Amino acid sequence: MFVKIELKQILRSRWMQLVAFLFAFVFVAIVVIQQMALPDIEGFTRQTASFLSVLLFLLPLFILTIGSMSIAGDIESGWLSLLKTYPMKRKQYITGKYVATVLAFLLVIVVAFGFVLTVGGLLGGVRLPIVLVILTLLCIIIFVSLGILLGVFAKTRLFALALSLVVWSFLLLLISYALMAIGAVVSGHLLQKLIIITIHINPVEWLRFGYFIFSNQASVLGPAFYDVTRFYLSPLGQVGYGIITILWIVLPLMLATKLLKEGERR
Amino acid sequence: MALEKGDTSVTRWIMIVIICGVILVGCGEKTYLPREINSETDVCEVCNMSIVHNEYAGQIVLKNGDYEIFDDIGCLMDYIELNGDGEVGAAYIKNKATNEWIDVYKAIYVYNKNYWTPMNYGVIAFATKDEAKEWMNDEEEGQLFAYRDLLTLNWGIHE
Amino acid sequence: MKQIMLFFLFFLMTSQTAYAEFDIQYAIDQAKAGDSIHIPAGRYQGNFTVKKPIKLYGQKGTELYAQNDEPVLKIEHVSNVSIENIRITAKNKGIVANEADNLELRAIELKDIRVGIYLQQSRHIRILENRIIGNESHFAEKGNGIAIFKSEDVVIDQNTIEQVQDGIYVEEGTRIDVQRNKVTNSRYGTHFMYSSNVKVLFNTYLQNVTGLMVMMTTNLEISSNTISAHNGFNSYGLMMYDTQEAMVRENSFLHNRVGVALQKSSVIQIQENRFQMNQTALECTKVDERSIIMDNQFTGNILTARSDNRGLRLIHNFYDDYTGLDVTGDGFGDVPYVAVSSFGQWMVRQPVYQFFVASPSVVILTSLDQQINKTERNLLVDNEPKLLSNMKEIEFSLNILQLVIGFIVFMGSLWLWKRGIRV
Repeated sequence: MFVKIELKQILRSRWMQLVAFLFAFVFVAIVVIQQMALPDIEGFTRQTASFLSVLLFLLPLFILTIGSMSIAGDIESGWLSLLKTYPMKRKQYITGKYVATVLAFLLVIVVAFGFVLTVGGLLGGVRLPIVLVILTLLCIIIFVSLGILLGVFAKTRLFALALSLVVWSFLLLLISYALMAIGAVVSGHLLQKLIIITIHINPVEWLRFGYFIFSNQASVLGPAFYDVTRFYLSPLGQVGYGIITILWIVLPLMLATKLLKEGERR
Repeated sequence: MALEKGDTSVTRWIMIVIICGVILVGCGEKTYLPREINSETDVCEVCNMSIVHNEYAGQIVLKNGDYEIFDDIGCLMDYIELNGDGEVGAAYIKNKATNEWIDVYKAIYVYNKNYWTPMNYGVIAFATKDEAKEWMNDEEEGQLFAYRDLLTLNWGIHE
Repeated sequence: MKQIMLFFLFFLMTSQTAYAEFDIQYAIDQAKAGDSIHIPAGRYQGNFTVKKPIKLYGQKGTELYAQNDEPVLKIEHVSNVSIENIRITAKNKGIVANEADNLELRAIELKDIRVGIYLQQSRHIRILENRIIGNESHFAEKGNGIAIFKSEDVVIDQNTIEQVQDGIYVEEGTRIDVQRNKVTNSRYGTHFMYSSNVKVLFNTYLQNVTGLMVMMTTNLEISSNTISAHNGFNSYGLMMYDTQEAMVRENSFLHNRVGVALQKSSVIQIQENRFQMNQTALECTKVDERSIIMDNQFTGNILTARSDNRGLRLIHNFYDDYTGLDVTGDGFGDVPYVAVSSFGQWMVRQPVYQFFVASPSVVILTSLDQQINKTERNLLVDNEPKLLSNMKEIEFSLNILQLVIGFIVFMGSLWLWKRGIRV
């Protein structure tokens, strides 16, 4: 019931409609432009590269901002205090919020992909690599969780927006730039180790890495990462990938629940 | 309360990262041990050939802990000639007789333009003079060299 | 001669069974210069040596296999030998020719061998229409399909080679023609070392570690080859190291990690090639100023060019990511095309940076670069980028199934959305 109400609220927001429109538009643009010039080839091409970039750019941005603002708005407007008068645990609230937001974004993506397929059908068919679709799903379930954590931490909508933007730019750009800058002074093997650490502590890199692993294009990352990619290509590594992904979902949610409880106690 | 907790965990993380960093850097600088060749990914730093003839391979461990792999002693010498050996922590070449890593600076070399090597430079390394002599008994006779002779050898031109 | 024909007739009647008792070595030893020996169908075990000018013909089902690690067929110190239509399997080498002159090897199928054809100090050799298939092990443990050492005037035409170390390996060869061959799933498609006067025409290289590896070789013509899908950790379509005077024309480099890489090379002309969908189309280090890259087409590559050199000349190429216009109408863009990107240059220096290829941060960086580098004048600049008008049109070929599915998904989700709001 709670999930339904939440879902309704999120879907009603102008933001979401805008996001759906934007995604449909961007994807179609990529597909059409590339379809004009290039033959269809398996593997890492500019088409998949731009798909990947757009996904990693836009999806986390919208998920983080919308997710965090939705929960911070609840806190700010007193809606949460109202909810508290119902017999509902914090955990249930957070979980409900999470499920609702994930569902909302899934719907957005389905709309966008449906539109891409339609336009693709007009152009004689496009391929939507299955790995990209799965990556999109992973991106949603990880970043909604992070967004909720940020929202609980921020408590007001404005702060949530600002915080989301800061975190987003760190994850997407600043950490990479910092690594590249460090790479100019340190040795190759040290840079390689730092990057491997980053893969595990930066969800954006984690998803990007996952894309290359599961689409069997690990060689794109270069020979320096042969050992890591080989590990994650093994059955044990794949299980490991699953576990870490789940941790990325569960840990922020647990932390959010804890923060929420502690915030009330004060 | 929440903030405090956050603070301690953040500082702990930073400490861990710093310690890891120190360990990583520290490890790299003490000893320069040779590493195994991975024929899937290793290519010669100089000529780009993949390493398929392991028994001729060489490697340089730089002082910063990076490895440079070579397919032939000639390519290794080319690298040293180009970059100097200021940054070189250690340099190894495979002993043709045993296929084990030996120190480039202490190895015994045999040269004959008819010896086949991956780059056809015709120089083969051994740990001892006996091994070199044994090789020459089986193959053609060659000139015995020490490391310093390699520095002045006219690589690649053997008409 | 008569004797041999008798043998042949005799076995034609009696020996369609396997393990024919025709003694090949005996027939060779008995033959006179210029004789033809027809080997009847059947499996023959042994190691055979040819030391006189004869012709060996097999027929369908003629198969030789080695007794031990020695080659199946040895051809030594002899001229005017030709061998045709035989199947060969061997643990080590299939055919070895030493100091042969005027040798022809045609329509031979070599299977499960370490080295297919091994040629040493020979002249006037024709290796035609053979099929060489290695085994499944890692390339470091295998031998070459066709290996040629210190030989002169060799034509290698229409061979098919799979799963070996180097498809065609040439060391210290002169006047070598490699034409219309197909090499797949090997380490290097064709590998030249210390050779000169080399022609590589109309070959197909597919899914090797590197398509064409040219080292310390002078005077090459590489034309009309198709080199595609070389995507390993260290793969190149064409790699030239320490090479002088090469003409690379009208080749297609499709979907490789690096299309063409030049290192320490001089007087290289790269003209009228098609570079399509490579991760990096062109990589040049220590290339001299006399090398030019002209009239090529670059489409769909993630990175067009990277180089350490100020002198690399890009002239009249077509780039699909060129944004300038041609107001003057001379067929060339009015503002220079700048291929340089900071990220590409870093990658030349520190290979670990490859991790960031096409990552969001690099995409931003590169687009910033393009604004900043507009003033670049020397490094990787094409002052007259070609503009093409014959772009592929959008084809309105309907894919009904996809259209319907897409439409249903699209409308269905919109409907769900609407419903979600109303509840």
